[in-house]
Amino acid sequence: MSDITTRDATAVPADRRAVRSSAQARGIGGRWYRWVISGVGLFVVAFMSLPLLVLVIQSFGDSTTFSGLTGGLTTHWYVEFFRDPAVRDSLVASLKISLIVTVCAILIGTPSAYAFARTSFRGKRLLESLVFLPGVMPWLLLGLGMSLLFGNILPNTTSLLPVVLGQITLFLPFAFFLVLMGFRGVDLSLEEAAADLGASTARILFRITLPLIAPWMFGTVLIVFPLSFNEQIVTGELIRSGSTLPLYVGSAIRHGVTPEINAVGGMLVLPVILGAVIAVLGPSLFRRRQRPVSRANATTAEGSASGTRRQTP
Amino acid sequence: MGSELNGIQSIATLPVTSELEGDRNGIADGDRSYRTAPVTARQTGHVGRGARVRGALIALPFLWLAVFLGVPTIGLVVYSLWHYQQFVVYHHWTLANYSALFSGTNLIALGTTLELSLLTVAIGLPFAFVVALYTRSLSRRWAYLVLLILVLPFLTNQLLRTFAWRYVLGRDGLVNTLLVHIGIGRVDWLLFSRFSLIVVLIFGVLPFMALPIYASLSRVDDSIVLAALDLGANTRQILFRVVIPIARPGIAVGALLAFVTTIGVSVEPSEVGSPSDLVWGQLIATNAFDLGNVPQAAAYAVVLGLIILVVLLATFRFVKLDELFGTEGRR
Repeated sequence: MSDITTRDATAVPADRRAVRSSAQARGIGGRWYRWVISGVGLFVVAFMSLPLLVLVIQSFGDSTTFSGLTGGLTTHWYVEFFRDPAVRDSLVASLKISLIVTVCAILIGTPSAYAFARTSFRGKRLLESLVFLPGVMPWLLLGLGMSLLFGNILPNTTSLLPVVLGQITLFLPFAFFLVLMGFRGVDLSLEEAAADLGASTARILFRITLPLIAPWMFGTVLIVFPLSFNEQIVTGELIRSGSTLPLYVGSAIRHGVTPEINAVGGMLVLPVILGAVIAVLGPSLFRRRQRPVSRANATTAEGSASGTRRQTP
Repeated sequence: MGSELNGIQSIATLPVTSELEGDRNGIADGDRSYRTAPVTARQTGHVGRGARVRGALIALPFLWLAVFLGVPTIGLVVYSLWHYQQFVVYHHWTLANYSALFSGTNLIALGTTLELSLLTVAIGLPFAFVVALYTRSLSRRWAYLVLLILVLPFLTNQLLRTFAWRYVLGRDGLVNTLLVHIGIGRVDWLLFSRFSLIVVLIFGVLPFMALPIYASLSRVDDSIVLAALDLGANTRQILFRVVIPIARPGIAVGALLAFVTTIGVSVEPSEVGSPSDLVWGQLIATNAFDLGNVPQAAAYAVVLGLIILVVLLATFRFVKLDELFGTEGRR
C-alpha cells in the first residue's frame, strides 16, 4: 500500500508538469508572438515599478527635483524625519489604526467567510455580491456618507473611533473575500477524512482548516494592513483630531515639497516593499514548516486506520 | 502550493478510503464518490443552536455594512434633497441641488470624467491582458514576483505614488532628462496634461484589470491550447477563439473595476492632471470640504453612485462572478 501511496502522490503532478512544459516549449504561437508578449509584459512591469523606485531613490537624495539628484546620497532626511514630533505622533496614530482595523476586519469577516464556503442557503449569491459594494464604490463617496453618520451619532468624540469604524467598513470586503478564497481552496477531503476519524467540527476547523488557510490569513494581513496604513481619503473625512502619516504627507505636499517629504515617502514605500519580499518568501516558509507536520499526521492517520506504519521519508 | 497540497491530500485520504470502501473505488477516483456522506452526517448532527450561531456569524459582516454603509448611503440621498444656504443646511425638501447639476460646467465635467474613464480602460486593458498572458507563461516563482510588482503600488500611499510621477514626467524629471541626453530635447506636455493624467490613472488601475484577467487565464488549460495547436489553429485563432472567450469574465470584471475606480478619482486630477480638466470627484471634494456645501456634494455623489450601479448591474448581466472565482471548494 505504501507503494500505491507514493505513486499516487508523485505521478499526477509530474504528468501535469509534462503537459505544461510542452505547452511552454511550443508556446501559444510563434517566435514573434512570444517576443511581443514578453516585451510588452516587461514594459508594464517596469512601468508599474518605476514610480516607487524613483520615490525610494529620491528619499536618499538632497533635492526636490529629479535632475537635482547629483549631489550624492544621504540619510540626513530620515534622521530629520524621526526628530519631528508631529511626524512621530502621526506615525503612532497610523500604526494604531491599521493594527486595530486589520484585526477587526479579519475577526468579523472570517466566520462569515467560513459559513459561505461550507454551507449553502437561500440568498447567498445576493449577499455575496452585496459584500463587494464598498469595494466598487468610490471611497470619497463612502467617506462623505460616513462623516454625515458619525457627525450625528458621535458628535463630540475626539478619538480615532470614527476613523477605525470607517476603515473597517472599507476593508471588511477585502478580508472577507481573501479568507473566503482561502476556505474555498482547502481540499474538502482533508476535512472529511478528519470527520471520518471522529474529529468534532471545532477540532476540524482549528486543527485542519485554519492551519491550511494560514497563508491566506497571512496574505490578508499583508494586503489590509498597508491599505489601512496608507488610506487617506476616508481617514481625512472622518478624523477629528491629530493626524495620520498619510494626512501629514498630504498637507506637507500641499504646502510645498521639501526633501524631508521624500524621506517620509521612502518611509511609506520601503515597508511595503519589505512586506512584499516577505510575502514572496512567506509561502515557501509556511510550506517548509507545514509539510513535515502534514506528513506526520498522515502517517499517524494511516497507522491507526490500517495498523501498519509507513516510513516517513 | 497546489501540487504539494495534492500530494499531502492523497497521502492523508487514501488509507482511510481503502479502509472504509475496500477496493470498490480505484486509486484515481477513489476519493470522489464517498465524500458527501460524512459531511452531511456532520452537518445534520447538531442543528438547533448551531444553526442560530451560524446564522449570526454569517450575518455579522452584513449587519456591519448595513449600519456603516447602508445608513450613510440613505443619509447621502436625504442630504442631497435638503436646502443649503450660507453654510447652513435647512431641513426643507428641494430638488435645487439636482437642477444645479445641469449647468454647463457640470455637464462638461461629467463628459470629461466619462471620457477619461473610458480612455483609461480602453488603453489600459490591452496592456493588462498582455501582462497577464506574460505572467501566465512564467514559472510559478517569477509569476508571483510579477503579480507582486503589479500590486505593490496599490498598497502604497495614493498621494505619494501619484506624486512620484512628477519626478518621472516633470520638466526636470526622469523622462525629460533621458530625452535631453539622447538629443530629442525637453517635452513640455508630459506633466499637468491629459496625457499625464491618463498615464497615472492607468498606473492606478492596471492591477485591478490584470489580476482578474490573470485569474481567468489561469483557468485556460494547457491541453486545450495544445489541442487547438494540433488541430492546426494559428496564434490569432488560438488567442481570439480559445483564450479570450475563456478569459472573458476576467476581462469584464477587470474593465468594470477599472472603470468604477477611475470615475470617482479626485486626487490624481489635482496632482498631475491638466488644470483645465475638471472631474466629478473634484466637484464632490470641493463642495464638501472647501465650500462646506454638503447637500450639493451629496447630489454629485448620488449621481456618481447611480452611474456606478448601472454599470455594475449591466456587467453582472453579462458575466457571473462564479465564472471567475468558482463557487465550491476544490474537488
